[in-house]
Amino acid sequence: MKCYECTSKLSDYIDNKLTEQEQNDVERHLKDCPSCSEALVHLQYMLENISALKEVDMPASLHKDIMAKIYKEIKQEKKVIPFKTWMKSIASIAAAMLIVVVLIDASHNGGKGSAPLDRSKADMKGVARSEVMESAILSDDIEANKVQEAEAPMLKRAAEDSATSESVKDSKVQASEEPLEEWEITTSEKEKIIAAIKDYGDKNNLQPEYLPNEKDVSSIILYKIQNKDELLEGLYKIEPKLQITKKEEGGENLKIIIK
Amino acid sequence: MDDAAEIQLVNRAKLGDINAFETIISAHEKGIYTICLRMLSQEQEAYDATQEVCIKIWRQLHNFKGESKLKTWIYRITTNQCLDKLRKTKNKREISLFQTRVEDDSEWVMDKPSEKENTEEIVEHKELQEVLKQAIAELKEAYRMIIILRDINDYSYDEIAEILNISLGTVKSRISRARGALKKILEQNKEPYKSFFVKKGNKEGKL
Repeated sequence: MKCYECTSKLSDYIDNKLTEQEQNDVERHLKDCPSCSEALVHLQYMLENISALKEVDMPASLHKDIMAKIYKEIKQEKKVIPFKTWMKSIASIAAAMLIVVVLIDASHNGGKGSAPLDRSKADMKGVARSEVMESAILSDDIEANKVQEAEAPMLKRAAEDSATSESVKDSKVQASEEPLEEWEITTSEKEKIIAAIKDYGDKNNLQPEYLPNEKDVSSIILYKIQNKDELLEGLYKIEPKLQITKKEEGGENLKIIIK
Repeated sequence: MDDAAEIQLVNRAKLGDINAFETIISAHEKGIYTICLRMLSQEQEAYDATQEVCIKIWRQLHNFKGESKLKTWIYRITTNQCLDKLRKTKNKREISLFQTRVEDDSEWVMDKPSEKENTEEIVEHKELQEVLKQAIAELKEAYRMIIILRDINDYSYDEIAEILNISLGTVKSRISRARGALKKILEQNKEPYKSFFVKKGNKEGKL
């Protein structure tokens, strides 16, 4: 090992950062080389004295002064807060107003069943309507409540998204744009076909929606239907020459119009 | 302070708990001040810099996600603050140098009270420390910083890599070069350095 190689490794040697091989090489060289040995002693002596520089007398007033600065900082922060809260309340009022508009809109559009359908709205209304059929006591108010319940998660989400009107609009659009596939069936076995769709719906827990009502069905909507082919096979079993016209294939919700 | 207690304190401080923040600062203010003092060399500047660092910690605490240790995060802010301050004073100094047409930059560093004349009356190791401080102040910033972190504050190579955001290899070679540079300064045959290693001999002789 040459002297320049040895001196370049002395720092690592002191800090134990050399490989075993390197360490042996350095030690062997140091034994025979007085000038490198002196360099090592100098380095060690220097480092010993440097570590004494750690002893620093921190001025006694420093801690207090630091905390005083922090308190001042907090005071300044607080001055800004009223503006922030003001902005927040404006945002929540705006969001609340928008939701009211949406709710009014929902109750006015009720029962038209126009496509594309708003899933949450139509779903809840379908339930509400069948209840109305069974019990005349239920009023429109209850239906409105049901709609409101359906909107509730959205409202919560909107509030979480710092309550901007954009996010409310977005979730609305998303809900109404869920794709709806349409099958138009012409059959001579209407009642059997309806019963089969109903069975399929109940079996797969799809909560079918009957339009205009369950006793006089002209169309059925199945939401989030997983296996349309299975349903189709079942229908062909009842009537092998069944005529079906499909529209908007690939939708995750299915509307079946029966003629 | 163990890690779990520290995390708890940080979380409380993030929520605006000033007492929690004070506990954190109490644990680190001396370390911050030491780095600032050794880096900036002047007490008043170190005093101001320490306060600035602590305000930065308060302001930026919400950015601390616990990916590194709190200590390394705090000292990263400290080293950056020191380098910032040095850059600003350097600019000022360069302007005044230009105006006064003083060409030798080192005169600024050497421009310290020349009490060294009365060496015999000063306690030996105190004097050595003064000489060392002066030599450290002569080092270029990157070398000075790494000597402060490694040899004054005793941080591990890993911690230094995190604080300075450089690779372990760079830490290793920079420590070696910085020590070499400092040794070279101290080995100069001029005041106040020329007796630095001679004193070592005397000390050994006495022992």
